Amino acid sequence: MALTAAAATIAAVEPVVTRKTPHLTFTAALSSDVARSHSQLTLTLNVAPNKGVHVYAPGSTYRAIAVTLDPNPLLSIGMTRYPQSSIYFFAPLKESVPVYNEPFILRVPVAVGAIPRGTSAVRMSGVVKYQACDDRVCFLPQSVPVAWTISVAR
Amino acid sequence: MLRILSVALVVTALVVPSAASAAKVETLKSFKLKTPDGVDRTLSDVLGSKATLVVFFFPTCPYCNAAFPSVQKLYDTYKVRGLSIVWINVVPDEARLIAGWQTQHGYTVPVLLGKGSTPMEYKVRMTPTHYLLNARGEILEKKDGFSPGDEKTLEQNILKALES
Repeated sequence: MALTAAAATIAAVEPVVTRKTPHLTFTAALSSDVARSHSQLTLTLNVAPNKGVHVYAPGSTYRAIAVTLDPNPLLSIGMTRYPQSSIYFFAPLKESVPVYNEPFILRVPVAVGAIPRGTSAVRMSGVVKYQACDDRVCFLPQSVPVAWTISVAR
Repeated sequence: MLRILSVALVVTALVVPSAASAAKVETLKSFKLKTPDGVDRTLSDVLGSKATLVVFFFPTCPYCNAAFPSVQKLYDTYKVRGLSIVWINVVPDEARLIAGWQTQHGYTVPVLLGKGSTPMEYKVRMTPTHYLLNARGEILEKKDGFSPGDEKTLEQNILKALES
C-alpha cells in the first residue's frame, strides 16, 4: 500500500479491477473513484465461480474466500460482509460445508482518515484468497493480487 | 516465443526420458525435500523396491482427506511387498498443520514438505495428484483428483506394479 505524493502524476485511475482465474471470475470495485478525508468507501467484490466449482464460505473448516487489504495509515478496513452461503454435502467425508457455488457479492467497508494536504492519490492493494473445488478435485489455494488507485478530492 | 520456450522447459524438466528404456518411458524428476522433522529426503531415498506412490496434497484438501484413509490401507497392506508411499505437501503455509493432522487421522505414510515451486515443477494444479512409479522411478500412471471407487483402480494398478 503506497500513498502517492503530491508531485507524482497519476498514471491511471482504476477503481474497478477484473480478474479471471481458472476457477472463477471476480470484479472488485470501489464505490467511488475519488477519496475524500473522513469519507466512507465500500469495496464490492462480485464473484462468479465457474460452472461446477465452489469456493468455501466462512464457518467451514476450509479456507473461506477473503479479501485482505494491505495496511495503510490513511485507511481503516472494516469487517467483510458475506452473503448467505449454500450448504454443500461432501459425501466421501459425510460433511456439510458452507460454500458459494453461484455468483455472490462480498462488501468491505473502508473508512478514509485525514488525507494530508498535497496528497493527490491513494493506492489500495491487497489480495483475494480462496480455495476452490469441484466435484472431483480441489485446486490449489489461490492468492490473487488486486490494487486500485484513486484520486484525492478536496 | 519466450512463453513457448518456457512451457517447453517446464515440460522437459518434469519428465526426464529414461536412458535405459524406450523413448516413451518417463521418469519422475528427482527432488530433495524435508520431512516435518527437518531431515532431507530425495526421490531415491523414498523409492520402494517394487513400486512407489507419490501423492501431492495439502492437509485441508477435502478430496485428499477422502482418499487418504484408503491410501493408508494400501500402504499398510503392501509395504511388505515393496510398495513405498510418500505424501508431499504442496501448500507450504499448511506445513504447521501436518503433525496434528497425522495424529488426528492415525496416518503413518511418510510426509515431505514441498516448496513454493513444487506444484509447478510437478505440474500439480489440483489435489490429490499422484504418480505411481516402478522400482526405477519410471512413471506408470499419473492421476488427478479422487472419486469414490478410485481406490480400487489404484489398488489394481499397484498390484500390477508389484507383480511386474
